[in-house]
Amino acid sequence: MGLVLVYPWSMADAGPMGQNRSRDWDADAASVTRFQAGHEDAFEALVRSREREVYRVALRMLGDPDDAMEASQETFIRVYRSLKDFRNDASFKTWVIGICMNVCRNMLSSTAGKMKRKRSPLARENREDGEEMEPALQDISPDPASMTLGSELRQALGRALHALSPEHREIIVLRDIQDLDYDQVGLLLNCPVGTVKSRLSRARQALREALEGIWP
Amino acid sequence: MAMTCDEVRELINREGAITSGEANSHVHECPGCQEFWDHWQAVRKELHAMGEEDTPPFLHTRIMAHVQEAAESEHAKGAWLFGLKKLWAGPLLVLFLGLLLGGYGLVQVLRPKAPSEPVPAASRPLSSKQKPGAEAKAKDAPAALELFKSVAPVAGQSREAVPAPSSPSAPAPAARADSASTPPAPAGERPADLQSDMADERKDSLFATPPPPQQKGADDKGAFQPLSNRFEERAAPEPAGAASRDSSRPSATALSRPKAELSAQLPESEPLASVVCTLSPLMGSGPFISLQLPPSAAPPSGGVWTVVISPDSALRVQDSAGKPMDASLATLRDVIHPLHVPPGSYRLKRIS
Repeated sequence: MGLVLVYPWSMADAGPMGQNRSRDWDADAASVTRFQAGHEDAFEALVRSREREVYRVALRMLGDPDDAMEASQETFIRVYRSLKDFRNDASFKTWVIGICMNVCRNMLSSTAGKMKRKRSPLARENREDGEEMEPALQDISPDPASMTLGSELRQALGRALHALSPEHREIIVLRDIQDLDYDQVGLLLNCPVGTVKSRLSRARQALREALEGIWP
Repeated sequence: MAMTCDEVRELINREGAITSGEANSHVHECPGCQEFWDHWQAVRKELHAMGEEDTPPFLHTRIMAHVQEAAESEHAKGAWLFGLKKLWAGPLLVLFLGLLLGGYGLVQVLRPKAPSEPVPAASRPLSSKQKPGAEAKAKDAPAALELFKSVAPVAGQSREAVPAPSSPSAPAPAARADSASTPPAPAGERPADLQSDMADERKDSLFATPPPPQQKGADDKGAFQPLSNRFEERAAPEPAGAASRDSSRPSATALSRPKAELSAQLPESEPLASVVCTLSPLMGSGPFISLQLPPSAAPPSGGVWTVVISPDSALRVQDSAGKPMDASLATLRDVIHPLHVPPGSYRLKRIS
């Protein structure tokens, strides 16, 4: 947990983000304003608004439901502690996901060895020593109904995602799973849009290689 | 086809979409790139679906519970910090009061007592006989009293000839009776013997047991005598005739305190014919001694005499007009000499 939290949006003005404002943004901004005015009950509305996204990002970054739950809790605790200093000219969603990414990075770095052993599905499935295998990452999908024809691809995607480096994984999670635009991803990763695109291209190429046999 | 397959796939990887008509034409005409594009769309759809997965039940409850817990601890921490800031005032106040009281106590200890303050030695509890030796050592006045009583009646008489105190309140160490059988030492051995006897005296008054044989040798080396005492010994060398007073030396511990208050008392044969006087240095620091003297050897009421003790222990007494008071000299010498007052000029003031 030695990483320093950097919130690049604190330096951004409302210009680039203004065009992304939506009803959710306005609802979040209102809740933030209420919270900053001393109405702590407004925080629950903010949690309810963003908890699912936070959990999913954490789940895809960490690959384990328990770790994702822990990361979600830690994320909102940090949000609670920092919300008084949050500038409402940025997107609350982006800010929260950025905090979540930092929490995930910290967890990955602090327990890198443990998590690598625990969640390297490709390595595990390639083992031929007959030892009992740990639950595969496809189990993290809690919805049995989604185990349809497309579930094979999803399972493979889950494994491939966790075979990626954290840098490649996080940019795919932000852009392709969370559907953030390039500006938001650039803010979160503290890099310009061009760098985001080139890094994203390399990440997708790595994902395609990890999906060898499924994605030509 | 203007774009190559690699360029089209790089574009799809980079943008996630076909953003140019040229690339679009290539994809429509190239089956491999078409398959690449179709698969990318399938992958992207699944990735999007990952972003819509169900979350575990009680996610909100669990998050809120932890946030609530963190908020409470945050508030408690804030309150604790606030309390800590307030608590700084407490130790500072205690420290201030401690320094104040300590300073006051120090002043009280070091300050010469006002003329009306000295308590006549006869009214003080003389408990060195009743209390353990360590406590008796702490009581300077009884020690001085004991020493005075042991020598005052007959100046120049050796310790062996000094009768045991008759007063029940005065200490009568058994060790003294034991040591009474020791023959007087030759005058040539006096300095070392004096130190040894002083140590013996302390031992007597503290433990009432005879000193071990090897202690004398240790005393010769000064092992059992504080450096300050030895310094005082050198500063006030004993005259040749001091052999008769060696047993009357007061406790060196008492004299090692520059501001120690020593009380002396005349023999009880004339308790009613005594007056209380104080002996204090004319200048600078030095012992502040309370004495009981016969009226004939004391200044008139409210009067002040000057007592000069030379390094050879000779005594000169003058009244306030500078007139020598030779009539009182012998009595004062008998009272002051046993106390081993350092050489210097003193003010002898009658209090009562």
